[in-house]
Amino acid sequence: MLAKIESCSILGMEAFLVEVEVDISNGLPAFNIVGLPDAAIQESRERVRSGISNSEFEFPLKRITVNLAPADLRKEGPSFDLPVAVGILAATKQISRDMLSDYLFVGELSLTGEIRPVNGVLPMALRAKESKKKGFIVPKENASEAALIGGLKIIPASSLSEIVKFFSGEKEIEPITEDIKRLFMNNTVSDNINFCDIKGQEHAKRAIEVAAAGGHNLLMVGPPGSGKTMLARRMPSILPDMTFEEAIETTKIYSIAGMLPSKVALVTSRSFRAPHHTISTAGLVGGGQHPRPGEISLSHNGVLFLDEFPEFTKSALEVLRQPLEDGIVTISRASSTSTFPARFMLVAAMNPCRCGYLGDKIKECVCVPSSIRQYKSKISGPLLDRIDIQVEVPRLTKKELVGVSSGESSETIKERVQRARDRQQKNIGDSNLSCNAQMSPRLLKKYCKLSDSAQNFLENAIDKLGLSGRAYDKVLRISKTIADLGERDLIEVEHLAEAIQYRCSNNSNNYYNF
Amino acid sequence: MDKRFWLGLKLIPVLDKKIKTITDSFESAERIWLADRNGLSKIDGIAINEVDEIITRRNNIDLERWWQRYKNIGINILTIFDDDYPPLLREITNPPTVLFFKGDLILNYSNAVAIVGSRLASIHGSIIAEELASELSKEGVTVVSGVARGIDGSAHKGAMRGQGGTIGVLGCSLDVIYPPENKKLYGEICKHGSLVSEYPITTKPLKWNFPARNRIISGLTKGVVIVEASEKSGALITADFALEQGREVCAVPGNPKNKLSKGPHKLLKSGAYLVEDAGDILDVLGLIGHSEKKKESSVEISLDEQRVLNFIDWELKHVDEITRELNVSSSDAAILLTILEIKGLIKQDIGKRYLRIH
Ligand SMILES: Nc1ncnc2c1ncn2[C@@H]1O[C@H](COP(=O)(O)OP(=O)(O)O)[C@@H](O)[C@H]1O
Ligand SMILES: [Mg+2]
Repeated sequence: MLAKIESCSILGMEAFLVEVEVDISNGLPAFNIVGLPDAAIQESRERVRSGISNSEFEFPLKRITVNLAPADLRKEGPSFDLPVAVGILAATKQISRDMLSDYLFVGELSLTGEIRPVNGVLPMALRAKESKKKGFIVPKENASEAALIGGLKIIPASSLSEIVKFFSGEKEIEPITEDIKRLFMNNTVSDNINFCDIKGQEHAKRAIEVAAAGGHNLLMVGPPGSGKTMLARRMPSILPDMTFEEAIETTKIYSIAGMLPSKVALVTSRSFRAPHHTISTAGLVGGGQHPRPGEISLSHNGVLFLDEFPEFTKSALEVLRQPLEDGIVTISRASSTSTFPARFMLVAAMNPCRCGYLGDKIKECVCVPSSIRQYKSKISGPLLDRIDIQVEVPRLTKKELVGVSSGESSETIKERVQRARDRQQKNIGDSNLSCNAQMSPRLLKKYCKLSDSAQNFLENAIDKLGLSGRAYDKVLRISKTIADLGERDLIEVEHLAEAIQYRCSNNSNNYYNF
Repeated sequence: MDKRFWLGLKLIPVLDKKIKTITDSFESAERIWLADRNGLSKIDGIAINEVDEIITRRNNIDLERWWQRYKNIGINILTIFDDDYPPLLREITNPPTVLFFKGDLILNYSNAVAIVGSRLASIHGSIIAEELASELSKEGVTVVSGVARGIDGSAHKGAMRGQGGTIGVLGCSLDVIYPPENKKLYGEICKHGSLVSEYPITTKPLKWNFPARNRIISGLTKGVVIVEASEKSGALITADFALEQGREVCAVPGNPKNKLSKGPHKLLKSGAYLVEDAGDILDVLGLIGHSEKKKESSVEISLDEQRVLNFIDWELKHVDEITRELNVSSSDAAILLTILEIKGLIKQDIGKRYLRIH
C-alpha cells in the first residue's frame, strides 16, 4: 500500500514542499527512509515506531520504505516525524484518507505520540499558503506563529491520536487565528532599564539618540567603568517601533533558528543581541552544514552589541564587513547557497588602549605608544569606515556620579527618535531604504540638500579639519539625521557642526587616529 | 672624489671606531684606504693585529657600488674637513668626523636652536613645541630636533612653516625609518631642511646610539629648549650635553602635578632660562632683535563662542563639562565646539576634551 503526505522543509530563509511517500510491502520487517535525510531524520524511525505503538495504533511488521521528494535537496530535523507517522497510518488504513491531501503536516513526535514544536513554521506557513493548501497541521506550540499568515486553516495538533480523530470527524479542532493588530499593540517596552538611570554623559546620550534615529552604527570608546555597557543596554528602549514587514522578517529568522520564545507569535520589538567576544565566526555570521542564521541575522532590524570590540577574533570582525555594507549574509555550502537578512545596527564598545585609561581625567595611562597603536589596529580601517558615529565616553568621578543630574527618560527620547524615523520613511522610502544610515554615496547626493551657508561651512570644515572622503560621507549622513530630529528638510550649518563632533579625536601626537 | 674613501672608512667598523684618531694624524682618507700592509701598520691608532682584518674587509668592498647606493638613496657625505661643516658642531669635544645627510644643507647653522622633549607629550606640550618652532623659524632660526614621536615631531612640523627650516638628527642611519609612522615626516624634513646621521646605512636605532645623537642635536645649536620631559627623559641628556658644550639651556614650565613637568622644572631650578614664548628664546640666545609681539589674530567670534572659549581656557575640558557648566544642550555645545575648532581657536584631545590654543 502506498500513501502520500505533504510536508515542508527549510533551506536558508525559505521553505520548500516535501512529498513524503510511504510504501508498505510484504517482506522481512524493515523501516527505511531515503531521499537525502540527515541523522535526525534517521532517528525519527524510532520516534515514529514508539509514537504509533504508544498511541494504541498498530505499527506494521512489514517492509516500510519512506521517500522524501525531491530527493536532491538535503532535509533535516525532526519535523518529518508527524508526516511519516500519518503516512504509515494511511498506508495501513488506520486513519481516514479523505482529506489528508488538503493539508500540510509538520511536527516532531515524542515516544508517547505527543506532538512537539519544530523550527521554521512561519516560512512553512507562507509556502503552504502559496501552494494553495486548505490547511496546515502544526504543533500546538507553533500554531500562533503559523497563524500570522492569514487565509490558511491552522490546525494545532497536540497528539497523533488527536489528529486521527480529527480526520475521522470524531473530534473538532478549532483553527487558530491571530489578530495581528492586537499583537502589535501589545508591544509595550516594559523593561525597567531606562536612560534616566544614567547620570551626565550628555554627549554620549545625544550621539546614541542620533544613532537610533538614523540607524547609524556606533562605536563607544572609553575607560572601564565609564558606562559604555550601561548605555548600550538602554539602546533598545529608544529604538523606533518596527513596521509590520520588519516584524515578519525578524520573526521568520527567529522561527528558523528555533528561537521564538514560547507563547510569542510575532517578534514586535527590535532585537538586541550581545554575543560574548569568544563567539565563533560561524556563530556570529551564521553557518553549519545546514546553514543557520547567526547573531548578525538574529539582530536583523535590531541591534548587534559587540562589547569589548577588539577582543573579538580578527576573522570574526572582518566577516562583518560585507553584511554591514549589503545588509545580507551569504553562506555557501557545497550543496547550496543560503542568504540570510542581516541589516542590523552595530553598537560596539571598547577601551581606548590596553590599560584602558588613555585620556582619563584621573587615572594615568601606562601604555607605550606602540602598544596603543597595536591595540587600535585590531579594528581595521575598512571596518571603522562603516561606523558612522564614534563617541568617547568619559568616566564620571564619584563626585559627579552623586552631583550630576540624570537626563531625560527613554520615553521622551524615543518620541523624538520615532518622529525622525517616520520622516525618513517618507523622505527616502521610495528608494527602498528605511533609515538614513543605508544611504549610499550616490543617494547621499540625491537626498542630502544643503543650504548655501551650510555648503560653504562644509567646504571650510573639510579644509580646516582635514576630513577625508569617507568622513565627508559620514558627516552628511549624520547631519541628515540631525536635521530629521530637528524636523527640517534642508541641512543647515548647525546640523553639520553637530555631526562633525561625532568622531574620535584625531591627534597624531598621541597616535590615536580613528 | 675623496668622499668615496671617507665612505670606505665608515664601512669598516675597525676604522670607523677610530676615524677621528686616524684622520687627525693628517692622513687623508684616500691614503688610508689605499695603504698597503706596511702603510696601514704605521698609521696612528691602528694595531698590528687589526691590519689583516682591515685588508680582508677592504678587499670585499666594491667602493664604487656602495657610493652609487648612497647616491641612489640621496645621501650626501660631509666631513669635518669640509668648509661647509656646521661651525658650531665643529667646536664640541667630539664632533662627528663624517656626517651623512639628506636634503638641503644650506641652513642658518649659526642661528640654530634645538627643541626637544618627551616622546609621550601631551597635546598641551605638542602645541607649545609646534608654536615655538614655527615662530623661531619665521624669524629665520633653524630648529633642530630628534625626529622622535611627541615634542620632536611637533617641533619639526612647526619649523617647516618658516624660512628657518629644520634639521632632524637620527639615532639610526638615513635609510631606516624610525619610528615607522615617520615616513612622511622624513620626506617633509628633507624638503624644508635636512636629515642628518653619523651612521652608515642599515644601522638600526640601537639604544646606545641615542645619547651620541643627542650630542649632535645640542652641538648643532646655540641653545636647547626643553618642552615637557619626565625625569628620565632623553631630553635631559641633550640638556647635559648642551651645558658641557657651553650652549644655553631653556625650559618651558608646566603644571607642577604633571610628571612631564618634572624634567623642565629640574632644569629651571638649576638655572635654566624660563621660556614662555619664542621671544624669550631669541633674547636668551642673543639672536635677532626681539620681534614685536604679533597682533592678536582677528577672527570674529560670537558671544556664545566667546563664552565657551573663556570656559575652556587653557585647561582640558570635556564636552559634557561645557554642557553642564554653561547650561546649554549637548547639541549646542557640539555645534559651538566645531565652529571654534574650525576657527583654529581650540583643539580636540583624546577623551573628547578640548584645549584652547589661541
Ligand atoms: N554615567 C553613569 N551614571 C550612572 N551610573 C554609572 C555611570 N557610569 C558608570 N556607572 C556605574 O558604573 C557601572 C559600570 O559601568 P559599565 O557600563 O559596566 O562600564 P563599562 O562598560 O564602560 O566598563 C555601571 O553599572 C553603573 O553602576
Ligand atoms: Mg563594559
